[in-house]
Amino acid sequence: MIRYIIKRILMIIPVVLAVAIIIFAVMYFAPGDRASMTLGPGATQEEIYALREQLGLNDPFMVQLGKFLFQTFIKFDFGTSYISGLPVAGELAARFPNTLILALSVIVTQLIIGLPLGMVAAIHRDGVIDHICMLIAVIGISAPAFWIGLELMIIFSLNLNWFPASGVASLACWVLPITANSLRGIAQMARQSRSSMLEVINSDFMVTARAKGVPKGRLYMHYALPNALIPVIQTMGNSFGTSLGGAVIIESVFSIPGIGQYMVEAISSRDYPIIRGTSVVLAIAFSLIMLLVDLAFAFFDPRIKAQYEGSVARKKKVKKAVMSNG
Amino acid sequence: MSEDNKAFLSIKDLVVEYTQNKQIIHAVNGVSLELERGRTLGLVGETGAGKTTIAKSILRILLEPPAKIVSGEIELDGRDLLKLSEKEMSKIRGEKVSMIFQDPMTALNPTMRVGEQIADAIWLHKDVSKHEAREMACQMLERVGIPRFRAKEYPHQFSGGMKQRVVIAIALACNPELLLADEPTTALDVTIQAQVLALINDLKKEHDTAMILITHDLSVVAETCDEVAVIYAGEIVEQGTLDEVFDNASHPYTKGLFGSMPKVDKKEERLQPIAGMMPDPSELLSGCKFQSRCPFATDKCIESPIGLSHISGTHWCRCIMTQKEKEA
Repeated sequence: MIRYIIKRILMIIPVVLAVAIIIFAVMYFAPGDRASMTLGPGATQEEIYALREQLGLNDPFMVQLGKFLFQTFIKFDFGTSYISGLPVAGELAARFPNTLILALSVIVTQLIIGLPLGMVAAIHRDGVIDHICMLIAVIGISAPAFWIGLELMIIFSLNLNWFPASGVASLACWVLPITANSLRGIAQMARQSRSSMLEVINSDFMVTARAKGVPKGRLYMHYALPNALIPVIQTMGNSFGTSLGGAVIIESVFSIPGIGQYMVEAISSRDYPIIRGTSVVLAIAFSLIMLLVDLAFAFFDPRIKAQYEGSVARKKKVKKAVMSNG
Repeated sequence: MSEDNKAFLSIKDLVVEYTQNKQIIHAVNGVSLELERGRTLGLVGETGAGKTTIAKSILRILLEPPAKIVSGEIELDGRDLLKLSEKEMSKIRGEKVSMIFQDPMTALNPTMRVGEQIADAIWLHKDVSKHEAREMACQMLERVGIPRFRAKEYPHQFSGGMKQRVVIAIALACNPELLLADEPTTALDVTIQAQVLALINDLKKEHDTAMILITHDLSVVAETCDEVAVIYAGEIVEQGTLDEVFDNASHPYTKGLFGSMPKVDKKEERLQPIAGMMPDPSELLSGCKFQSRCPFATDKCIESPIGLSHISGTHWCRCIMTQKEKEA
């Protein structure tokens, strides 16, 4: 298992490198010139050339790429913003926790609200509770996050004045953005866990378990849940990934200084170091999450764990067991 | 204990229906059975005849809905199982009555160690600690011929035959008084079939367990059963002791079953299958259910329901011909 984890961590390196190279190439070949944008339409050819030279934009593609990779991965320096002149690394460090809070809150609310909703719906299949849960889920999936965000703001900030409408100054500030951001995740989770729970409830081994006298509560928690969780983990990993990059809208609606907002601003102003820096950080975060998802799979599904452990480890284990049993 | 005149297990007029697409499917239509301790009843019939539904009704593990036990009584040791609460029922399941399932590949929980799955059955019913239950589960594994160190493994690490042994170990973990074996050997290959049957028989004899063996394999019935009930379209068409039914098969369907089986002692060019299909269970026929496939069918067979007629001893048959013979 440990060998597998190390192998998977090492595999993150080529993934992140590939993301960095692709992002660099896309930026390089995309139309629009940073230097002429900075200097404005009145600049002369010489001035533009001089600025390009200063930013290193006149070097050949390979040289620029090499410099970028060296700076980023050997010296861990993401450069400075073309516009503000601030180091990107510092900005990222300040903004990443905000995005992380939004993304983590999706996971947490999915687990404590979405999963139980789906399970209850599955257990009471076609009953009133089921229909209510699924109605909530459909609304949650259909309503766009920005709309929910704005509605929440109107109701709870403007009218009731319960929570602040923007910023991250206090804990209360987080209530509305987290609610707006998590609703979709909760709805998705409720639907996913309902369908996977239903599948498990109808499987043969649940009949075996009932036939040996396992009472209802234990049947659902002990027998059904671990099996139903396997597809659910996938949903959680995915929604964490999308909310890392996709919290842009929520970040803009509630003026939260997060990574998504930072990146979108940088893209519209061709601020290459920021775009590259955020992409690399997001790629690393995403890879780590996927690693966690895979490890969680192994934790719940012994069949997957067996694949990870490989045949050598298993043979050793069997041998040991045989010897200890005489 | 039960009254003297009542059998250990007594099923009376059991009717079970399934609802599918707003259509009612009549799976079991008034089945009555009796079984004494230590005896084995073979429930014979083709796929869809309602054999498994009867067994699952006894344990009340039918998925409701779509299934529904409409009427009838299932008395075990003098208690009507259909009147018990779900809580009381879960004490009977696995402890007094347990079941071996048809398909060992899907009958085990893929995310639980096999030892745990057996230990759970013990721990739920016996007054033992989890540790003791685990130890007893290991002993149970050894009794079905699996080395104890494999208790820590998961079902995917077992072959089909071994999984079926685990299923048997779960069913027998608490020494049940009634064992329902639903085609326990159908999914296994022939070499293992005999082993598994012998295993069930041994364990059954040790504790004087009553057993209902569901099968469509008459040779298995001949080997293991004391009594036979032949089911067709949710009705018992013939029942009696093994000898009575095998030596004097009276119902045309039973005769057909024997005819469609290869015999070792006779040289036959062709087997004689029963022509046609079972009637659509969503439409209840008025008369004999076998009329459409019966070579002896007359107009009388369609007119009114046909009752069981007595042949000899405990031998009963649901056919108009045996009825007439008696009257004549």
